[in-house]
Parts: sequence; C-alpha cells; structure tokens
Amino acid sequence: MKCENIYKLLTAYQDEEVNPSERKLIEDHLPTCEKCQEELRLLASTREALRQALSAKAAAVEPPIKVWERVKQSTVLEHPFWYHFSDILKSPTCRRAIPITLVVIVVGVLWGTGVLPRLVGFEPAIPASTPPAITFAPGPSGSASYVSSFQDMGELCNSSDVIVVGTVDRVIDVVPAEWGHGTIYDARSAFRIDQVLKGKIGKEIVLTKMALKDPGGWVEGMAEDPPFETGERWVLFLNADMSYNNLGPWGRYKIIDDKVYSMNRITGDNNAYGAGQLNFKLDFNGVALSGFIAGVNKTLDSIVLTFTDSRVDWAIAHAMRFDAGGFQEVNVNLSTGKYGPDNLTYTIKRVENKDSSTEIPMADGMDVTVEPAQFIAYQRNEHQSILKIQTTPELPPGTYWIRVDYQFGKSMSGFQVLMVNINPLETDGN
Amino acid sequence: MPETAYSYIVVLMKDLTSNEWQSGNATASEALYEQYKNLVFKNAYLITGSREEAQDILQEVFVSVWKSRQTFNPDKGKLTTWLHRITVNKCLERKRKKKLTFVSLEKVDLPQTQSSDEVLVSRQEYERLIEAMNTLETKHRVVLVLRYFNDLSYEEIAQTVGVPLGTVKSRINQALKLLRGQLNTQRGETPG
Repeated sequence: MKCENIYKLLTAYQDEEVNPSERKLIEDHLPTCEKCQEELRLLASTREALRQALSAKAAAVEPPIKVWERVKQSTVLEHPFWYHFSDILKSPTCRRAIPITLVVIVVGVLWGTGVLPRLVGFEPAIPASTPPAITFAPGPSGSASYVSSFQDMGELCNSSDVIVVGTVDRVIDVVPAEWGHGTIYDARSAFRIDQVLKGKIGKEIVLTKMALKDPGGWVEGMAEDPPFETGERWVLFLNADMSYNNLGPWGRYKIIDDKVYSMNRITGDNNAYGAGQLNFKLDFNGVALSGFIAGVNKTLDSIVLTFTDSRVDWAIAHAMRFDAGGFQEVNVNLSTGKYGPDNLTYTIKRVENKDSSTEIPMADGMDVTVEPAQFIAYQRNEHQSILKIQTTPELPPGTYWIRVDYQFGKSMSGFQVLMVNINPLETDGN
Repeated sequence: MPETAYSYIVVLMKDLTSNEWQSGNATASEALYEQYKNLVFKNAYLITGSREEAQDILQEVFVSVWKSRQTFNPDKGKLTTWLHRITVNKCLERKRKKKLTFVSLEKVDLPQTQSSDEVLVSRQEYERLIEAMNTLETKHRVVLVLRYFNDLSYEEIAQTVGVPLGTVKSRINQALKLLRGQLNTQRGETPG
C-alpha cells in the first residue's frame, strides 16, 4: 500500500470513522512506515489544537439578547394560542394523538365498565367500578425511578435523591401493570449496589421498569429504553417517590468495560433522549468510569442552586409565563455540597438579561420575595425556599429577568436567573 | 397489536412534552429558542467568523424553524441535526447571496475560566489557528466546525451537509491538511 493512499485515511482513522478493512490496512502499514507515523502525529496535534481553539472561541461569544423579539416579529408567534388552533389540528402530533386518544378512551371505558372483559371472558384484576386510569400508576411499593428533568450535571445530581453504581443481580419478576390491561408489565430487577455516590441506601435496591409482553413472550419495548439484563452495570440517578416515572432513557448510564455511555450511545438511537433533547449536554460516549464518578463527586461537593416548579417539584424551571395580575411561586433549592453549616442569605434583584449582573429597578406592578430569605444551611443538605412573584394587571407585557443571589458564609456566593414572561395583552376581535 | 399500542403511548408522551413547538405553541417555541440559541449562534459564528453575521443567521434559522416546523420528523433524525442543517444552509446561502467573503474570525480573548494547565494550546498557537481558519473555504470550515466543535459523526455530517459519506471523509482530511499547511506557512516552514 502506498503512503498516499494511507494519508487519505489517517484523519478518519483518528476520528474512528474507518471501516474494519481500512483499519487493518492502516494498522498493518503504520509500524513499517515512519513517514506515516509522523503524519499521524502531526494530524493528531492539529486536530486537538483545533478542538481547543474552536471551543475557546465559541466560549467567548454569547448570542445577543434581542434576537428572539425579532424572530417573533417575523413570524406569527405573537398571536394568541387559539390563533394557531388550525395548525395544531393539522400537526402530526395531533393527527396521531386524536385517534389514539379516542381509541384509548373507548377501550378504557369498555374495560373499566366490565363490558370488554366480559366479552373476552376475562375476569378483571381490578374491580369493574374502578375508573380506568390513563396515567402512570405507582409501581410496587419501595421502587424508585430515574431522574428525568435536568439540563446539566448540576441539575441532574441536585435533583437525584440517590446516585449509585450498581450491577443487575437478577430479574425478580414481571407483573402486570395495574393500568396495563394485560399488555404492559412492570419488570422488577434487583441491583447489587457497588458504590453509593449520593443518598442513603442498602446493599440492594429493586427497580421497577415498564415493559411489554404478549402471550408469545417478550416484545421488544421501546428501543431506546431496553429492559435491564442480569449482569449489566449502571450508574443510576434516582428519585425515591416517583414510581410513575419509571419509563425513559433518562438518568441511567450504562457501564461497559469501566466506561460510561448514555442511552443514545447504547441503542444507537440518537433520538433516545426524546423529551430529554434538553439533556444533550450529558451525552457520554465511553467516558472512563473513574472520571465520571469524579465529575459527579465534584458536583456533589459544590453548591448548586436550582429552581423547580412549585407544583411538580422534580421539574427544573428556567422560565415561566403568565398574565399580568397573576401570582406564581417557584421553589428555590440550594444543595450545600461539602460546605456549611453557615449563614445563608438570599437577595433578589431584577437584571437586564440572563448574563447581566447590572441591577435595574423592579418593574412597577411586580413584587418578588423569597421566603425564608435567611437561614443556617447545613453540609450535604438541600434547603428549599419559595420565590413568590406577585404582579398587578398594570404590569407591561414582556420578559423580566429575576436573579436570586446567595451569600453562604463569608466567602461563597452564586446566583440563578429566572426568566419571567408576561403575556401580551389580548385585544378584542383578534 | 400490543407493540403498536405501547409505542403509541410512548409517542404520545414524547410528543406532547417535547414537540409542542411543532404545534405552534409560542411558549414552547420560545423554550426551544432558549435551548438551542447557543448552538445555532456559536456554530454560525465559527463558520462565518462574524458576530453580526451569526446574529442575523440566528434570527433567520429560527424564523425558518417556525415556518417549517411541521416538516421536522423526530423519527427520521435528531432535532440538533435538523438545526445544524438549517444553520449551515443559512451560512452558505448568505455567502452566495452577498458574494460575501467571510471575514476574519474576530480576535477574542481566551476565556478566563480555564486554569492555565487546562489550556494546552498556547495563545500564539491559538491565534495562528484562527488565522489559518480564515483562509479556508466555507465548505471546509463547515466540516471542521461540525466535527471538531460539535463532535458529530461523519454520518451525521453527511446528513447535515447533504453530501455522501466519502465526500465528508475526504473533505475533513483535506481541510485539516490545508489548515496544517497554513500553519506551516505562517511559521515559515515548507508545507508538509
């Protein structure tokens, strides 16, 4: 093989984008050719330098703040919800959702009232008087579920009650889900806990996972969310009391040969994140387990401030929208990491934008408080305060940035910014 | 079919939570913008080398996203791939329309957040690389940015740019060699 033919493949070789036969050609040739070895070395250093230069350059710029306003002006986004109703009816989601919802409701009602079970000669497991639930019913007591609302490692670690490295010891059993009507099952797997990174937990936990079965055996369920198999190792980010959320590729990272992979890498399905498109920053493709654990520990040691929805506490909140005159609450959660006990004080200010620290006067018609605003925060604890946003009907529509700063002891401080959007006024006849 | 029923439930859950923007929901569209504005802006900036161009492209991309929102099919590809494709097309389109020679990548300071031992590229080397990037054609900048800033696979780059996989392979190889050639020229060395 001539060097020039090898040259053409060297970049792809370094990027792990050659096929097996090309790889063999290169690896047979390299030990015998100093020139190609040197070329490979030079390409590698250019490539790494370029990576760093691009990353540094991109880190130094931020999108300007007013672009979204111009996007809205160029589209019809300013119109109220009902203006888009015909769009919504035409959308692929709705076209799919309407017939499915109708079928689910009809089947559910027939089943729930006992008509369908009698027709098919099936004795219902639940009393016929129980209304059919088209929601996720809690799994067996004691089960946990994966954390699913996060955008970065800080939020992922902060919203987990328990983080463990575990091995699937055995699949315990497979029982029909209460709402699954004989098709959807809960598969229970016992995990041997190898390492606890956060929370208190015994040597074994049982996880319930939704699965699909028909009389012929297992049907491969959601491709992006495969069942656990005995012997597999996982890093699991779990909540204790969210059994209804035991579905999805979020909060579980598979370990293969001491390397960590996110679910999209395991299944080869880049859509695996689904709703977790938000989580693309946590795309792991063979990160060393030791490095991954070090990253988790570093995050757990640090102070993390997050906002969560006051109605759905596990849902991280970055922005909210309501009408002028409305009142909203947001949970303000502080994880203390390795710091404390010490005095913690929150202060609130309005800023020009997400990245600005310049305080501007609070708008007339908006009053924001946090309670409690002062307390003693303890090491390895999560403290919750409530941010209350009261507005009057006179508050002009638009976007307001509310920044909550914390001062923890004398030397530690930080902040989190919430985007508050006040809806445009609706005018009659539009 | 049970499998179908199950898939439907999954589809329902997924779409109703993540794809509301496709239905024209303004709040969801804004959330989508907030989520991906950095991705679009930074890529446009790295490809065009100009903040002003990147700002205009950011606006154009999200106007396009709004207008063609119902053509995006999550079953056929990743949302980020779709956004990358629109961004790259907008960069190329602007270049064509304005016969624009993308200007020098602005000199920006290295971020101060990195500790010195993490900065493996010296400032001088960094400046050289930026200078060398300026000399490349847009098609070469595009593949370098997609690969070495976004970590896209060659297959994803092929989908984004709309060229065959083999072309991606040779284009990246060629771009890196041109870049190295430029670096050598700057150093006064003979291109290797």
